[in-house]
Amino acid sequence: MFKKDDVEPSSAQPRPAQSTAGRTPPPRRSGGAAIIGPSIKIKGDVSGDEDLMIQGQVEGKVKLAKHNVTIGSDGHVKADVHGRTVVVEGQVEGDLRAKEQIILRHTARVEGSIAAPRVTLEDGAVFRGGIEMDAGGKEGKPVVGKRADAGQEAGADRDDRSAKGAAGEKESGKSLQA
Amino acid sequence: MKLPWRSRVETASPEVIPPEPPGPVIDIYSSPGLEEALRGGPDDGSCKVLDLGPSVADNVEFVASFASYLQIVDAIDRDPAASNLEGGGFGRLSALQSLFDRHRRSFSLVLMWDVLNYLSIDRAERMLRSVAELCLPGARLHAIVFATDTMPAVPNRYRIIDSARLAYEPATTELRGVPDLPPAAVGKLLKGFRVEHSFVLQHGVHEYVASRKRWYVKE
Repeated sequence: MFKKDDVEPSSAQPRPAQSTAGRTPPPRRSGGAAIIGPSIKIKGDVSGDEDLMIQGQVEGKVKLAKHNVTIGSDGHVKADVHGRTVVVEGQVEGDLRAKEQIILRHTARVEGSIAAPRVTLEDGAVFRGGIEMDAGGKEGKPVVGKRADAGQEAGADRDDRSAKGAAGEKESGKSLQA
Repeated sequence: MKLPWRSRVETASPEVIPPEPPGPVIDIYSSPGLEEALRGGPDDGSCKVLDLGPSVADNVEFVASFASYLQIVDAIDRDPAASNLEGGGFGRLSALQSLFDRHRRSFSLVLMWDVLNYLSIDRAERMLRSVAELCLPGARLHAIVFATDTMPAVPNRYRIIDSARLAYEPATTELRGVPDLPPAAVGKLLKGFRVEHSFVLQHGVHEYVASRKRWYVKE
């Protein structure tokens, strides 16, 4: 199920390294975030004090509770990830926890559990695991939506559990284009 | 007169687009079974839901409106190569068994759509024993079972439209025969549960709503 071939190429591919003769190259950054590039493999814990983009492989733990963590479309993480917001475009085997929001993009493949006050699951994202709906803490139930902007509206008018249509109704169907 | 291929390509009108092959049609049907299953759940926000199907954004959003926890198992392999019923059929039993440590007797609603049709009887029994282990007494189970001659070659995806309607999203237009599963056989498979309602829908689907028995002795 979790095949690397299924993952779409990232639009934010890091550029080839330029000549750095005679000086130390600056760390590559994506929108101000430090990058673990596609060829990098890390076994162990990752922590720090800045945002992080993972395009490589990480096994261990990623602890950046005050910062944003993005697992890019080439990223392959076997680790629990803790961030302020966590965005997944690639593959994760591990638990995701965020103080503010977790977003699974349509290319994401995640096996683990999710806990955050706000969860967004885009159509196409493959997720196996548990979603804590009580992770809102003092702020109450988390908001779960399917679009990045769904947070404000999701949950507001969804509780339509009161009966619609009589039980035993055989069929009322309409077709959509596939 | 036939033109050389290059001329044919160059003279082809850019507006001529070959028609795409027709894809599977998504149908929306009423689901009295889902409505009934939802009606019986706890109302205090403590409901924990076990979804044996794949992750679907709309379903997650819907469940979040009333549940405290959602477990997505994706118990049925959608790889056509795994569809050989003689070999056990689609099914990831280990995914359910891995939940025993943390979630034994904790779920109050189970969504089991397109599961029984795609498993051998033996594997279905084992899966349902695991499901019963994971459920609270009185938990509701909603099952969708094909009662037609044919069904999609791989399981559908089901999208909750609202509390009484489901969209059926086939992954393929290919069809296969339906294993014979009359209501008596389904009732026998659902050993830890008691079938409380069943609905035969006009499009050839049988919906069951079952309740987890208060006393269930694991065999």
